Amino acid sequence: MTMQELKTLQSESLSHIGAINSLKELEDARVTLLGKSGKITELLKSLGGMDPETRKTFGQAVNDVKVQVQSALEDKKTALERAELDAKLATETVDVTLPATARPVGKMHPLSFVIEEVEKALSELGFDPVEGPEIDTEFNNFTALNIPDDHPARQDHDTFYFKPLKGENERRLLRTQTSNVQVRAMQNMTPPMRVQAIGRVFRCDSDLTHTPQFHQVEGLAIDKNLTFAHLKGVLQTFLTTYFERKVEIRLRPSYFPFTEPSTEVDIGCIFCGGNGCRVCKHTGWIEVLGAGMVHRNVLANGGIDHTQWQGFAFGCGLERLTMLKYGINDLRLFYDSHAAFLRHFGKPAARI
Amino acid sequence: MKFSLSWLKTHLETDAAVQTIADTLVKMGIEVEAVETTGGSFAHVVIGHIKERVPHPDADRLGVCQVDVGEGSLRQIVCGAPNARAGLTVAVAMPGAVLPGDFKIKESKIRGQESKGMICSARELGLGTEHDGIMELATKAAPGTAFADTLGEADTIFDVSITPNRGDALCVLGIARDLAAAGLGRLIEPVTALTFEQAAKQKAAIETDGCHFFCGIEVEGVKNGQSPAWLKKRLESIGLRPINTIVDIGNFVMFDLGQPLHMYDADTLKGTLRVSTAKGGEKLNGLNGGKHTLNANDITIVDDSGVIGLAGIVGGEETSTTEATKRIYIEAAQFDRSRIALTGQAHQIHSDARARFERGINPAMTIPAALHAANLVVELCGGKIVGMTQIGTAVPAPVVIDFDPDMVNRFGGLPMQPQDVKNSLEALGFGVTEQTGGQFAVAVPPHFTQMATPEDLVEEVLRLAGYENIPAVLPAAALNRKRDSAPALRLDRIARRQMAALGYLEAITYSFISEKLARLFEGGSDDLKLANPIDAATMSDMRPSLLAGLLDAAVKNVSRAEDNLKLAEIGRTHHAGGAEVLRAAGILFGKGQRHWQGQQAMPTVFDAKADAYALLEAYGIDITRMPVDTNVPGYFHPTRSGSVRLGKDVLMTFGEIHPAVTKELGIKVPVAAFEVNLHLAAKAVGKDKPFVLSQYQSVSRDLAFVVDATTPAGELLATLRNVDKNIVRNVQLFDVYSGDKLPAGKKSIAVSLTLQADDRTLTEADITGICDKAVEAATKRFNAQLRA
Ligand SMILES: [Zn+2]
Repeated sequence: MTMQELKTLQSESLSHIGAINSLKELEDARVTLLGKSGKITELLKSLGGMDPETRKTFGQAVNDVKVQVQSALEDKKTALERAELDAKLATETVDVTLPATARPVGKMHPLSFVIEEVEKALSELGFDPVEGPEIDTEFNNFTALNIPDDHPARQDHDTFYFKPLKGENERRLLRTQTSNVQVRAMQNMTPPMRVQAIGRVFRCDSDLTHTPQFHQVEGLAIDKNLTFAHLKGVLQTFLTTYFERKVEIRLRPSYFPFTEPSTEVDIGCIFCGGNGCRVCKHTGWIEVLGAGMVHRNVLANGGIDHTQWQGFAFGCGLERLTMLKYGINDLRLFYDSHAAFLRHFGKPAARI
Repeated sequence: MKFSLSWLKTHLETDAAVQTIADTLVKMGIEVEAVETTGGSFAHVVIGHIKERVPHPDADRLGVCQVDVGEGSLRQIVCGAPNARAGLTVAVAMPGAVLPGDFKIKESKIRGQESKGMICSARELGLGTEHDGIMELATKAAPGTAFADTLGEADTIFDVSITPNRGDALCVLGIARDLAAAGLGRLIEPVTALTFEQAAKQKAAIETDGCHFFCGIEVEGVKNGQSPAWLKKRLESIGLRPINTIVDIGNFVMFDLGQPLHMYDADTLKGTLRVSTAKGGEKLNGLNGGKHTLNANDITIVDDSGVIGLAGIVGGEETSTTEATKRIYIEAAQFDRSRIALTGQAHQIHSDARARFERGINPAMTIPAALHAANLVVELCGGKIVGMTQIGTAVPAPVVIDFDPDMVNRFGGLPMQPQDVKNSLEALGFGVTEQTGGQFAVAVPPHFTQMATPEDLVEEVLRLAGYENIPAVLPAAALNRKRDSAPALRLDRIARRQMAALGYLEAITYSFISEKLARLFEGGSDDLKLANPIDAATMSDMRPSLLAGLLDAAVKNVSRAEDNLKLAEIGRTHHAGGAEVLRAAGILFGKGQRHWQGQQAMPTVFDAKADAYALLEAYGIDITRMPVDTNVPGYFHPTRSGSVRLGKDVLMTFGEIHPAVTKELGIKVPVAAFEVNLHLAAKAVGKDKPFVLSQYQSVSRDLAFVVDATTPAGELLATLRNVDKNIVRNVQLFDVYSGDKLPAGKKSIAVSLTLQADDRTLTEADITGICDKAVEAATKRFNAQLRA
């Protein structure tokens, strides 16, 4: 074969490969050219009978053709395979706007989210969460908190009592306040201490603005020199953290048997900015919690010497905080388990 | 308690504005519930009758009213109040009226409709805070009558709430005293004699320690009847109904000075009037209309006829004054606070007298009040005072409190000079004597009946200074924090999020449920029944399981067409003997969502199990390695449910709810459920293990065993895992088969064992050895055959 013929073979081969449209044809072309008795293979075999000089130059030329053809075959193969895959994928088209595989979306109850928020805000102020029972004795719920049974304040609590059992010498009740945790905490821990207790409380009252069960948070701090000013600082910080904005607070002298001095705490109405609206009954203020310096009798009942230690306590209804922050206007919805309510006001699992 | 501004001014010389008075009351610890102005001049405001109301054609919330204002023709007024309706009598501000806030009323068009005036709310007229609707008037005055003519003289009514420690403030004098101390004016003390020369003919005696002091005044020759206008108006202004002059005087003096009085028709009394103690069982027809049977130890008023009154709480019908009464006996006494409270609670009688006695009355006012009442009787009903009887000491020696004035700062957080502390206390009526060393001896005035400690004095000084002047200070960071004091609480919080992540809506149901539901869930023990449930039919028993409330919630939701749900709750359950357990529970119910990929399956025991395991695994509890038994409570499906225990205690139950239970509750769809004990889970949370990344290859081998159909797969898996804990890394069950290819009563369980060592590459001999041991163990324990 002449160099010219080799050139022709090369150009014919490459143009043939370029025109191929199927992997089958491509394989045929590979066998025709590079197979055991392929044209180029035969040429390489024929080199053995040539004189060394010719063999060197012609051999080099044949080899170049072989490399080029091989490369063209591979490129073509890649291209054809890709085209084949594209064609296959084109047949797999789906409507990606169809709904995803079914998986229900869960929500935590709005109160649960508020419990977390409150717990975190108080935790940042050093109050560690503790647990207390929902069913308690008259002593822990009332007497230890300086509310003797002839005290008018006891009536305000509309207490649920249990049917007394034979031989029971102290009535059991559903706690009316999370303050029942105070005495236990004082008995079980040694000051200085800062604890918080969040939980269900119960009062025998049911109307538009009362449910027989609700939630409270109780904070208690005892140390050598905590004062009413510290109480004010803690409440200001707590409420600002919870509402995630600067809130104005107003402390009013009030009365709780377990604290002295006592105060009720209002926040400047967050709906009208203090100008007066329906939520704040046109006063510009909304009552959110009660607090005070722990009464010496309560310290004594907790086994703490009031001449050495002093501190403050506060308690706050969580439904109210939830309603204020998240705009829920019907208290009874909290306990109705209505899926529509839970979906709307509930918080998703990873909500920050 | 209510009082009017005009009444207040009989005890307080002041020209303070209404708002200032209200603000000062709040500052002093007297909560102001409402302030309402009555009367006043209202030019161009007239009485109107709404004859018709139709919706505004272009505004949903507005109505177009036709109002009769006495002009002959009706006047059209657009009004947005929700309570506007035909038939109401209302106050109409006519064009030309100027309402408070310089609000000028003009004829106008509101959304295209003519409006010739305005129908007013109480707030728009400056008569109160009510702004949720227009005022609904009760007047019979003809349309067009000037509104002002239907009102009395201008006055302002304060409605305040008095805390239980402030017995002193349950009268107008007490309110005035607080306001005067706060610098709002000068207190006008009542001027009355402290004694009367002659003794009463009516004899009296104290026979109980429940009465500290008794004063009786006899007035004869009286003519009872209607009270004069001023007295009626005083009582009506605070919401009391005038009865007759003598009764009205008693009420008036009590609200004025704080001393409850009782007025007897002296001619009905038999023999000596005695303050006594009930033996129990005596009967009393109360003036309140109640028939009371007395308890032992109740303080009573008796005469020779028997019990004629429950002292300090309610008087008797037979000895009360009537229009015909000629001779009266006025009782002004001091009863034991605690005894009055207990008696009042026992008989469930709420009277104004009881409220004052149990909070503590001002002993210095007992005699002046009695004499003031007697003088008013003579003034208004004629007659003359016959005489007065006193038994006991009216005013006890004052309580004296040792007080370090620095406590205002050290405890109250308000830096204050001793002199300022002294001034504050004196302004409030305390007697302050300075002791050596800067200490004060503070004498408590008689009207403060509940003060005993220095902290009480701190409060007094602070409230006069104003709580707003106490600085807000953050305490130093807390040391020795106790973060691990309640690990179950942390699991509680995580459960609330994790259940949401698993697709559950978290409900919060009531802790009390019906007795029926409690019984269905194996509760209902006697010690968990409420004595006074709010609804005996549905809220009588404490819940033994969260599933009870959740199933109840399922019923409610199904009725709202929410019939494919996952509901969860995290909370406490209550158990006989007093145990309270924190739990997390979930229920899944419904026929399965219809979905374009195919109808979802109805929830089964394995869906509940998957979610329960997911929750426990999220806590880091190695739940898959814990054995499952089928010893479950009766409300679960007996053959499609299981329990996992930690020791003897049940950590978790899961399964399908017993069809008899769902049927009983009226749930027509299957329900799967689980419940986890979080107090136990807190103990099961695994410790972190050291991490070893094996350098050597892992291999897997499949084995299929033929076992009895009743053999629990979980136990077979556990047995295989335990063959060599260091090498068997995982046992994956991938097939369960029973059918034609096996003998009846047999099933085949196919597993894949993952084997790996930390210290070497496993040889073929190692692998065969483990597999042989696995087969041997399965054969020994379950009589398993290796399937060919
Ligand atoms: Zn407001």
